[in-house]
Amino acid sequence: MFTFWEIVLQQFINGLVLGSFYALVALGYSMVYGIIKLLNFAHGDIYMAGAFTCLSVYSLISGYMPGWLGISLAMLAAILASAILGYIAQRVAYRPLLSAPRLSLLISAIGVSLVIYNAVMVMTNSKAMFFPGGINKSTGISYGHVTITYMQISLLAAAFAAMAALTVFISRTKLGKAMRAIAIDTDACYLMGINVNAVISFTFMLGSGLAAVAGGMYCVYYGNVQYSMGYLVGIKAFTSSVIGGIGSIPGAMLGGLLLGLLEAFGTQMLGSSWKDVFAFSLLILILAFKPNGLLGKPEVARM
Amino acid sequence: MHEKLKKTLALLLAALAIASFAAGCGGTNSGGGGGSGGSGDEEEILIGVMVPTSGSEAYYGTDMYQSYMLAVEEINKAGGVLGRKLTLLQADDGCDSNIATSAAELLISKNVDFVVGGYCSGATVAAMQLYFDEDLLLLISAANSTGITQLGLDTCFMLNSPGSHAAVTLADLCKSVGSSKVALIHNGDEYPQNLSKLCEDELPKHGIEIATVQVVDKGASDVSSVVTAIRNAEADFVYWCGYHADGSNVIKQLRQGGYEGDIAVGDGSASVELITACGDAGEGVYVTSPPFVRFAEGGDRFVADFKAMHNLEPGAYATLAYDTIYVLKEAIEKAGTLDTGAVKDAVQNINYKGLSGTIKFTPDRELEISNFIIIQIVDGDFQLVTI
Amino acid sequence: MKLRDRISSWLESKFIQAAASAALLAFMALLPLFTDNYYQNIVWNAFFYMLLALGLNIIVGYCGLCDLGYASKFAIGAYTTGILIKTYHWNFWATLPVSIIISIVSSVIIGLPTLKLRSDYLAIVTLGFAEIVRITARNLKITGAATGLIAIPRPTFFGIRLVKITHWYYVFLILVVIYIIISFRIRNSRFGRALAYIREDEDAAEAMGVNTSLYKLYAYVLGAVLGGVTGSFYAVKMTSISPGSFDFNQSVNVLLAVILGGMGKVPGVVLGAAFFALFPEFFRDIPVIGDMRMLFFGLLLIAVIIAKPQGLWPERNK
Repeated sequence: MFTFWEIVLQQFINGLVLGSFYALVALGYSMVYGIIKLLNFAHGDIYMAGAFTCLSVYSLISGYMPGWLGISLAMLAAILASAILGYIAQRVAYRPLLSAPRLSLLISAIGVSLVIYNAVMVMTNSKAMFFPGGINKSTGISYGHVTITYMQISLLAAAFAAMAALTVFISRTKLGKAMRAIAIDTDACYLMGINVNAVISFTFMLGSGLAAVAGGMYCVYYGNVQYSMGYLVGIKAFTSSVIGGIGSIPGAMLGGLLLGLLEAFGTQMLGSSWKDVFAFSLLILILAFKPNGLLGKPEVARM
Repeated sequence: MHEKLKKTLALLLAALAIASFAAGCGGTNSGGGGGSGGSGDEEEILIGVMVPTSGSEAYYGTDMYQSYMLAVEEINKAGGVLGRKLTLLQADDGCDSNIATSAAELLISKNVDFVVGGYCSGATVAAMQLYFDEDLLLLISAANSTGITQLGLDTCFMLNSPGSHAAVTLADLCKSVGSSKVALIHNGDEYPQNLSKLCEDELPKHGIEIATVQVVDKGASDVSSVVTAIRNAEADFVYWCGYHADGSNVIKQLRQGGYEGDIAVGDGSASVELITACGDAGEGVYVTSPPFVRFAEGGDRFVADFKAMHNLEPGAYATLAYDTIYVLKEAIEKAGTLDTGAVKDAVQNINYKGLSGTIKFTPDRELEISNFIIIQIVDGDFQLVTI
Repeated sequence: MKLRDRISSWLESKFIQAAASAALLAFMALLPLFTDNYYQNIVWNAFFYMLLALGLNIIVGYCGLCDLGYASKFAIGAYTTGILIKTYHWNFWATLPVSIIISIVSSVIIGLPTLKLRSDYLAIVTLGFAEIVRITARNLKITGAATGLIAIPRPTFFGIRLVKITHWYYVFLILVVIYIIISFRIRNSRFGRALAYIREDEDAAEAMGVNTSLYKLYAYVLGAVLGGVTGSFYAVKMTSISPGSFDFNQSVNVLLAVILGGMGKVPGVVLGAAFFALFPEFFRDIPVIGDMRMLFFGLLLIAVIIAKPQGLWPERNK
């Protein structure tokens, strides 16, 4: 049915769409890591909380307004809720531990992850929630057998827009500059009069907000949310940010897209039961040859 | 630091206090019909219930437990079994092997006479050996991986049709809709993978080709690469072996990705929530389903009683759980004793007509007659399909 | 402050420690005489986590490497033993050396190219390796796919067939004692001091002529071997193992036990593992709270780590 090149092209598109999800979530991981060297385990759960808020809000308001407005408002609510959640987590669980051993910070992050995960599980009675209606028909652009749906196009567009905006923000604004400065030398930033705590809080909110964008898109696109959905994406995003070079913003994007493509082509070549083995083996190989990831800068470990 | 230390200690002490209180309670829920508690009473028949009541599968475990309660209450009202009342003692297996062994040891240490339950195959398998070692009869209501009967433990009976029956039902369905190339998708979990493997073995016997076997992990987001692989394999029928939440995602993305053939889902997805979850994309989807209460003879009365007792709708495995208690009752009455050996033989030879169908066992202690039915989503509701 | 110092120095005295350990051990050895199967199984579960935590402690606590895939280490032991017994009908005790060898080989293969990585990169490599092991076990026929290996026969020990929970209680208690002795021996050896040096300041250790890569590899392999042996015993105790028992959560659980207890400090790690294994069990069936026990566990985790960032019972800096 498909010709060889059609398959390659179709899987390339599939991989990009999947990868843009990973990239959006990976950005939050990478930013937080860059600034306080924390592997934020709760990030996948914040993504889940975003999707959950989006769905709940949309179910509440969708009856009273046109679809696009409802979706936009629901997305906004998701971003807001996740940003607040990220802020609270940072304020309560991470800030008191900034000078503690790194692994203690990791434990705290695992604690936050457990809390969010189980809170949503209890609230939803461990059942999945579903989006009323949703778009199910296959409408899109076809070329030969290759199809890209409008949904996929909008998903890609949204992801790339978010990434572009973030890049501009980090490189052009004062706050972005402060974030970069803290990542390089926190102590010097204190001396230079930068409000380090405020910038760290902001970074968390920004990263959480981006995760909520991914969560919201997932909820609008696929229409189901369950409390366990953050786990897999969290691990994949974590992997993406490491492939790209953790702490590097373009690295996270590249890593996410690359992981998405690896999975798509792994599915095609080896079957979906082996795709993760394929992706993780390549990850180990990449790190064996490029110990700082693809775009990470070599640096001396600061434990 | 001093203050903090004190606070921590206080917290820990509080936790310990609650913990010892909990331990004092024995960590069990005992319930049942008769009302008179006291599980140590010699006159009562103590039935251990091992189902998940916490964690991801808590909903199904609770549903089964509530169904057991209903059956026990009815039986006790009618005079009990051999003049003795039934009492349930519930232990949570958390759908986890380690917790399941704790649950099993808990029931064993409480000297239960029989054990019913079993929702998650993995947890059930982990606990079975322990019951067998203690010569306890185990009637498994829902878990139906063929791994369970492969153990060859002769005190364990499976009251739900095994996956091999679903594979036969699927073959019949494929033939009736004229499909010849089937794609199987599972999620890598115990039962779904088992079901997929059984279909892989069964379908070719009916002249149906397996186009491809794919895996979609729990919580996977975009599965379009799997959809592409399925379209590329030119499958005209897709069978999803996993659970309904991810299943709805797969179905939607199949339709969005331009797949136009038939779709069926396995018993793990047999839930009314599948309909809401899939929306328009669910129209026409088949389900190889366990006995659905609404299509069962005498089902209306059961639903009414269940609602009266629990103020809830019964779930997918309620009928099987309900029948389990009645099978046990009949077997005990036939044996005339609580002796495991005698009751075991009575169960082996039982022929009971229940809500879930006719319950009769093969020498391998699986159901002889399949209880699978085929239903289809038509106009946003389930409809029984007869082939 | 003074009183506290005096109490802690009293607690640190050799004699008191020895007496307390002996009393605790005697209590543990006698416990099955007056408890039922259920309590023995709970305590067994705590022993099991202690073994895992003590193994991981060598990697994380002694050497400061961040390992997020410890489940793979005990999966390898469990599957090696399971396959040899089920498929090739070996005697359980004969599988132990094989389990150790395979643990060594696999951890050298994964450790050699990656141990030079920075700690967070190591975390993802170990996580990735654990996923590879789990998914491979799920896909292969010899490992029983997702169903896993079932009906693994119970071993015998000096003519006793190890069937009852009481048997396993004692087997694991003995293992815990052995692991604790090994842990102390390592900590007090030259090797252990080198590891502590690497943990505190790797660059300085390197500069002082410590072959850090080699020592890290030793620690990693040693931790993997202890995990593998634990896995072997786990397989025959449970009689069934499946990929689900070795997922990422399991790795995180063990890591939590090690760090929560106070990384590096053996009694702390044992305490952390006990706390971790017992906590959810205590809340088992309390209405409402029972369902939310992991929620409380998360909150408690955050509270404890903020109050005691070094763990419940950390190593005292000398």
